[in-house]
Amino acid sequence: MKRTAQAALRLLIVQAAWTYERLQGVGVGFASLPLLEPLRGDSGAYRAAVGRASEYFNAHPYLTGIAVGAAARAEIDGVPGATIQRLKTALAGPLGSLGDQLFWIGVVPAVMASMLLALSWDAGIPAVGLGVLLYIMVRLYVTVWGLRLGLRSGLQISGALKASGLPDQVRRVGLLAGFLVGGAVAPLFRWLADPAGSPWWWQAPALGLIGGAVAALVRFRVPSARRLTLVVMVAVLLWHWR
Amino acid sequence: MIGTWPALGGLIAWGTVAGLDLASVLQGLLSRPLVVGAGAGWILGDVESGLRVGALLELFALDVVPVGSSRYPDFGAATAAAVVVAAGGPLHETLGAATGVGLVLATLAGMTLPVTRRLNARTVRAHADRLTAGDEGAVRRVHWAGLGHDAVRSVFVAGATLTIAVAIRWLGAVPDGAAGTALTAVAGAGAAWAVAHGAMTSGRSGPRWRWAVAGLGLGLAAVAAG
Repeated sequence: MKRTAQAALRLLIVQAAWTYERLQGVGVGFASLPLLEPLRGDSGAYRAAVGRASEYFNAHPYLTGIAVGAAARAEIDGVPGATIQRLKTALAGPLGSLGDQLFWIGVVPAVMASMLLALSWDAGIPAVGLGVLLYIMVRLYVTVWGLRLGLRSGLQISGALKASGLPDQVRRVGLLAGFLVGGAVAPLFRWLADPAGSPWWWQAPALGLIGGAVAALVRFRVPSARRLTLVVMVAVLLWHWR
Repeated sequence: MIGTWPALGGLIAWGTVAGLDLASVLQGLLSRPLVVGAGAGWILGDVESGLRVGALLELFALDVVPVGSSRYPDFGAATAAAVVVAAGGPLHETLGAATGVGLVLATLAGMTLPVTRRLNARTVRAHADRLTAGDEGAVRRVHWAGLGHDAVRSVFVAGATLTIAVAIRWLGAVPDGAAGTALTAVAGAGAAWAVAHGAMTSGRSGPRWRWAVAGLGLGLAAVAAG
């Protein structure tokens, strides 16, 4: 229990030593150390396991614990090293893709849009604080849950992950995120317009919405919204200073 | 309030927390512009400016997916700097300039991430043999060194971006009047472009964009209903 808690805490900084060569590898090795403690009695097996744990690996940081737990369980069960390496290689891509879809493109936009919507209802700073608090609780829960799932399942992790129902949430969360982001836009601009009222305030965001949607639909290779905005801002400043 | 040492110290500390949260520690929304803006506004005693600058920059951030080796902006300390630019002024004139400053600084701050990764790579290479041999001391050293690199990066980014923002205020370089209002309209258009582009790109191959359009319609109806 204590080792699991230590590993879970270390998973919160799993990307601290991220490099282009090993990606999360060193962080995974660091998080695995408490879990590999039972192997300490056999120095050769322990060092081999630590070496394998620190090799090239990458996944979504919230779900890396699944692979860390599964590989640690396999090491303790005496599974051959080559099999453990294949297990980690097989997990990296799916855990990365699942996490990106679920969290970066799903939960995060949904939570941020909820906060923006709450702001437009004058919920103020407590809405932001509450949103962050709830999100951090979810983040901690997912990390501990993933680690335990991996430790329970070992080599059977793929089936256990599928049976957990997590992959099924991607579609639902994605649709919810789309709905909330879309729903937040108009109330948010109305809220922003209160002190920022100008003749153009409604026309400008409306033009931006149409432009961004059309650019995405026709797959124009346009610069990012950040660059476009900065270019137009420079043009506005030059126009006013001429 | 902006010129007081406790406020500047608080902003640098808050910007550092945001910088660490971006990739190294927790990744728990503390680096999101809305969250950083709220905190910076609170520190400066102007929560309204902090929330509004943060909300506008958040729409730009929704178009960014921070995937592994990709290059992405660091909105954390840049948002705190943008709030410094806007705080205490008439928001219809300062919101656009603050957003512009935030976007430039976020892009520049994002360029420091590969530097940290190269420093990490140097440390890994120096310990490569011991890492491969399963030396647990080497694993610990390399990992803490990586965290140290990002901590230094975060402090540097927070200090540099806030220095730039204070200098902009001190020099009186925040455009006001018609120019300020025009910049605010451009910032609104750009933020709307970003959120529409992000929603449509991420959901182009599925029904997600239809849900986004449905949400937009509902939001418009709510606004129209008052």
